[in-house]
Amino acid sequence: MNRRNFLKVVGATAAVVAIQPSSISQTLYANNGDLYKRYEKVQLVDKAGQPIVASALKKETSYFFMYPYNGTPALLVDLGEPTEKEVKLTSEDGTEYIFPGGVGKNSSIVAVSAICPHQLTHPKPSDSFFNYVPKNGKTMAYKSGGVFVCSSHLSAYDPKQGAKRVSGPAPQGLANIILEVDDNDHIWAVGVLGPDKFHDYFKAFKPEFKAIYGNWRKAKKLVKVQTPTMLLSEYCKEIIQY
Amino acid sequence: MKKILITALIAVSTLYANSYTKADRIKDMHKMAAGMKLIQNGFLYRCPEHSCLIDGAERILDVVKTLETQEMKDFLPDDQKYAFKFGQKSARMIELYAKDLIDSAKSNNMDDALEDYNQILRQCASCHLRLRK
Repeated sequence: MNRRNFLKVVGATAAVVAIQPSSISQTLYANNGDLYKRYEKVQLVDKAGQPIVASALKKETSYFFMYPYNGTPALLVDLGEPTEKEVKLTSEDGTEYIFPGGVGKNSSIVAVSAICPHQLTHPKPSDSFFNYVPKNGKTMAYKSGGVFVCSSHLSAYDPKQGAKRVSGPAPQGLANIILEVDDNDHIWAVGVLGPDKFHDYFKAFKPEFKAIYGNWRKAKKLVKVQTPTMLLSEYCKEIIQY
Repeated sequence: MKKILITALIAVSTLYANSYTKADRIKDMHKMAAGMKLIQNGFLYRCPEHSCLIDGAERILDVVKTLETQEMKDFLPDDQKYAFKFGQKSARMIELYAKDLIDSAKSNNMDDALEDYNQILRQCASCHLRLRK
């Protein structure tokens, strides 16, 4: 390849990336143990379209948003205390990945994909069997609170350790939604870390998506620019927690 | 006195007629299992116009309809009564998949019909694993 052709290729690639940044989205199985897929960078906003402010989040309260697809639920929680950092985790198939830690001034804000890897329980407008149980709360799934709980079959996940499974029949931890907090204290979702269950989820709940969205393909569209964020209790009619 | 006796008799017979006994429940569970078997036959053998799939799903829907009218707490084991909402959720999901199975069969979408069958079986097993300890 001569110099002119090389520059043409570089220029064309740069143009494609500039027009469509998602074209560089990729899955990384890096040697250092990362399992990370970057999606659209999306801002978390309230119902009025105003940015969610990290320091204004209620402590130990579940906030709901969709990411990275229109139909894939996620929960955001400010744990009120810093998470552990650089936590080494292993997926069901043995792939290792590293949870970097929470974000925000106190490194206490985390978000997870709210799809239980056991039988794909997830929040729905009618109800949610998936929730964060505060530290002073009680659950049948674990010896103490401060965990995400799937009340369908009682699996618990520790958010301070990258949503690692700590009890129950789930075969692995929850996927983490990777967040960034900018200089204005606004929160952005940028990718998914850990083994997600999106493929199985979309396959299993086609009839549910048809009922909610009319056309199930709408659920599979990537969230872009911003994603409405609200209390889980506002999204679901009822939260069931055992 | 006669009036009181007659009223009491009517009340007792009404209560008896409305109660959903353990025998009723077992009968209904057998009906659902038969519906599942029929659907499975629909995939393994030839049934004209997917009639086995549709008939099987309709049998399941009939039972779900009955279950919706019953207080689930009343027939769960004592130590599992608290989880009646989980049972209700499973019933709702079975209903959703059974209806979709009928639609999929009618539109000859066998891949979706098979997925619906898998999901019904999953919901049945999920509920039994949880509530039968």
